[in-house]
Amino acid sequence: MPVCSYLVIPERGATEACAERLSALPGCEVVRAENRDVLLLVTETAGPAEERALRDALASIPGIRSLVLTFGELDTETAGRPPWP
Amino acid sequence: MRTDRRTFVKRLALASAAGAAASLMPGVSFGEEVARAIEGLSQPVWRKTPCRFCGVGCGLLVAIENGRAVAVRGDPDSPVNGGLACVKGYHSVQMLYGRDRITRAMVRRNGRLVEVPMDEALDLVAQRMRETIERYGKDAVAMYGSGQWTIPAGYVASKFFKGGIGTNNLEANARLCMSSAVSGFMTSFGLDEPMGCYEDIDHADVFVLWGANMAEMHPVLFSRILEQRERRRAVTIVDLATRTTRTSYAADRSLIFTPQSDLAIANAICHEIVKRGWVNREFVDRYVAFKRGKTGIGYGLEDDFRFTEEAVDATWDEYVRFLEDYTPERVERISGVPAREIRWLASLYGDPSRKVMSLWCMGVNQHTRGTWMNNLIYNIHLLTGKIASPGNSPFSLTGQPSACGTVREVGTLTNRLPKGEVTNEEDRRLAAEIWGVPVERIDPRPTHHTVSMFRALDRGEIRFLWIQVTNPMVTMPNLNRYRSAAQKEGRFIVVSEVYPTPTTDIADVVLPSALWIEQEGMFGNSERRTQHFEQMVRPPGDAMSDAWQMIEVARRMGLGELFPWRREEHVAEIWKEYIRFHDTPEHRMAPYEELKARRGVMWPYVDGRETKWRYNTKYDPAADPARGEFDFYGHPDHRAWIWLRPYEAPPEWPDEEYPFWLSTGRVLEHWHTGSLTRRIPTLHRAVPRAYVEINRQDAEELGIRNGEMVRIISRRGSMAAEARIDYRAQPPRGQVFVPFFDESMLVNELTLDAYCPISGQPDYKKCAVRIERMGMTLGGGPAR
Ligand code: SF4
Repeated sequence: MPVCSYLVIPERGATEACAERLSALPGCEVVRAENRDVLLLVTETAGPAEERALRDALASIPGIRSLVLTFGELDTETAGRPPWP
Repeated sequence: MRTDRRTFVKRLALASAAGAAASLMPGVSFGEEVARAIEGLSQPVWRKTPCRFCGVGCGLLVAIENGRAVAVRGDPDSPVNGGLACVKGYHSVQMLYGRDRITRAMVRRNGRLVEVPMDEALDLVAQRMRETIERYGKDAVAMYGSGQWTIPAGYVASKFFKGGIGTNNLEANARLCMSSAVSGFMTSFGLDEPMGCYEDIDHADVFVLWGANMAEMHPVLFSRILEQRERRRAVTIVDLATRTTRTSYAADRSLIFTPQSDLAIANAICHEIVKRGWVNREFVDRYVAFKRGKTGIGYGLEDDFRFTEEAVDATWDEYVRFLEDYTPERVERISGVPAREIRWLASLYGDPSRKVMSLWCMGVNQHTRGTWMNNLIYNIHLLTGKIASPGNSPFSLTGQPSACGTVREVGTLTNRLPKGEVTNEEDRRLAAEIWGVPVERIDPRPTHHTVSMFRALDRGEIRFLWIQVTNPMVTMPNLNRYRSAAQKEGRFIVVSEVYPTPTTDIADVVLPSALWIEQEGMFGNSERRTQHFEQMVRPPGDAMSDAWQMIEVARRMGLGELFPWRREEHVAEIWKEYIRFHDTPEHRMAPYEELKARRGVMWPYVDGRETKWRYNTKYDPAADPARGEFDFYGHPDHRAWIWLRPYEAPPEWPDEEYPFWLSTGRVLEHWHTGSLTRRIPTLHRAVPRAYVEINRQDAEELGIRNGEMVRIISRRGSMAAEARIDYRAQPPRGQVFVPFFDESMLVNELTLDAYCPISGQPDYKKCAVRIERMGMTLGGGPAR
């Protein structure tokens, strides 16, 4: 159940729309700053595959100028020596 | 009120994001609800540490729960990163828990590594070292360490090898990444390490990045630069590089130059500064001297190559005459950068109203003229007087977390001591006094820098090699030669590691090491900041810190009197002993207790104050105000030296048979050889294997499609990889790029072991290759 948080800086005038789009994604909670155009995003997903899918979805949301990961909780599974192709 | 673990972790996540926002936008408010949610997240949960990865040295907070590290966040109180971190930092604790962690010692028997008790392995290491010394002499044993060593580990290595055994066969992988920076500092200023600090970013108006893809390699510092551009309209970022990267896209101007021609560009900038009257005459007359060194200095390709630099006095007029060869038009022909762009760049440096920061890392250092390139960037700043004051800063970035703190400051290189050089009698006497050994035991002759050390292993002059915290069987240039050397009959290789790697694959003994916060230690980052971290979790199985492994072996060899400390307090004791070497105003370091308490301390640390700008008499207690605004006290003449360094061609150049330049490097997600980051699922999945970036037009001409397997061949070796076209970076025509993190695609089998003759640092950025289609995809299917 990976939990991550992000600092989201929307493009000028796009804060409201960004907040709505992000909140509509599964596992996403959005907090809007009271006095600046910046959002906090906390995500919770079922596992590494879902987390990856969510990151892809976040990357395709329009109106985001910068999305900075600020927290990453440990995945329970960690990898060994990667297989040789 | 009790909260369940998920709620707790989500509150931590929210607190981290809010902390990052507050550090970027002071005064930002998220309302009562957020304040209540993060209230009561108790302090003791989080412990501070510098990041284990790059030389930026971000402060992190690690949450410990039931003896395990469970979460990471950027430390909002760290002056380095103010709560930010990059994707590597955020996932860093996962590297502690890879499935194949080495937890037991192993010894090779009948060709296979078999587990043995740690004591047995340490006995064997000591016995083989002793036998090798008895049979072949003290210079037949060697230690190869790392800029990822903690400072105590580096110090123990220096004392053990130089003060105990009496050999200078001590090197570290920082030779491969930072030694040109060191020799650049030493030749220009007489002392190592930057005069400025990260705070320069907050003051500079212009940032010129010399061959540094900071967006991927120094991401948090790059965020700080971008943040300044958001805040201040005058900020301009120039990316001067050999390929188009994420940094180029973020920059205001991207200038692509032909490999090696940075030497000519730097001289052309100086040519323009002189011609347009932008020289700060008062500064130059008062604080600068001119020097000429040797030219046509070779590339170190021969085993018996020797080089000694000589500084000969030169005059201003000679310098001006020297620059006449570097008109922007002539340099345009060498570099491909239009003359008008060179003039524009010179005008940024020359404009007295704009503060300029130059930043560089491997592009400049991994260069057969790496020392010269460092000198040439300093020349620009010295001509304009834009140096050693807030925002005016030539800043050499580092790649490893303690390349500065351990390798450069402790001096874990063949020629160095914790203070000074082995060739200097006064420095040897100081070391002998602090170590309590006869001065005669410290050998005044440097032996081998890294490439030379592996060549000596090949020739059989070195018979025993102990490798700690580094992976040379992935990183050595011209790797085939040095892998065969390590596998030769009669060589004994000990490797201290945390995971299996191609280097443990060739080891005779593998010792399990403690990693990062499984031990107490210190790292020193790029801005002279030393940061302490405590042991937070227990190392797995028999794993032991690298420092303590060496102490155990030294004791078995009868050198126990050099290491009289108890295990529980050896780090504190080492620190107290080590800082005696630096007990002068130029380099005084903070006491142990203060390091423990603070978010790192920058040296020189004098009378309870850090020094942000060295050589500036307003800030630096070692600089003499009687000399004016600046005192470049590293040289006996108290001046900084401008060097006359020409453009010289590289040893290998694309030709008909090998028509492409090959450059190698890193990617954001992977740390060096990937032995840690490839065990972190998020990072591994993001970039699961290496690839070769090819220019679109070149690919079309060769009939290569995106994702198709191609073979890259140099005069030394070949490798297969997927072709990537218009991927995260784009090389210009005639160039390809391959990252080196993937142990299954060893690009260093292709690279050339040519090096800068002054620094001994190899050039990983330039050799000639050809590309052949393989007609298949990675899975073996036909390429469509
Ligand atoms: S920028 Fe470097 S030091 Fe900072 S978190 Fe990333 S890898 Fe770690």
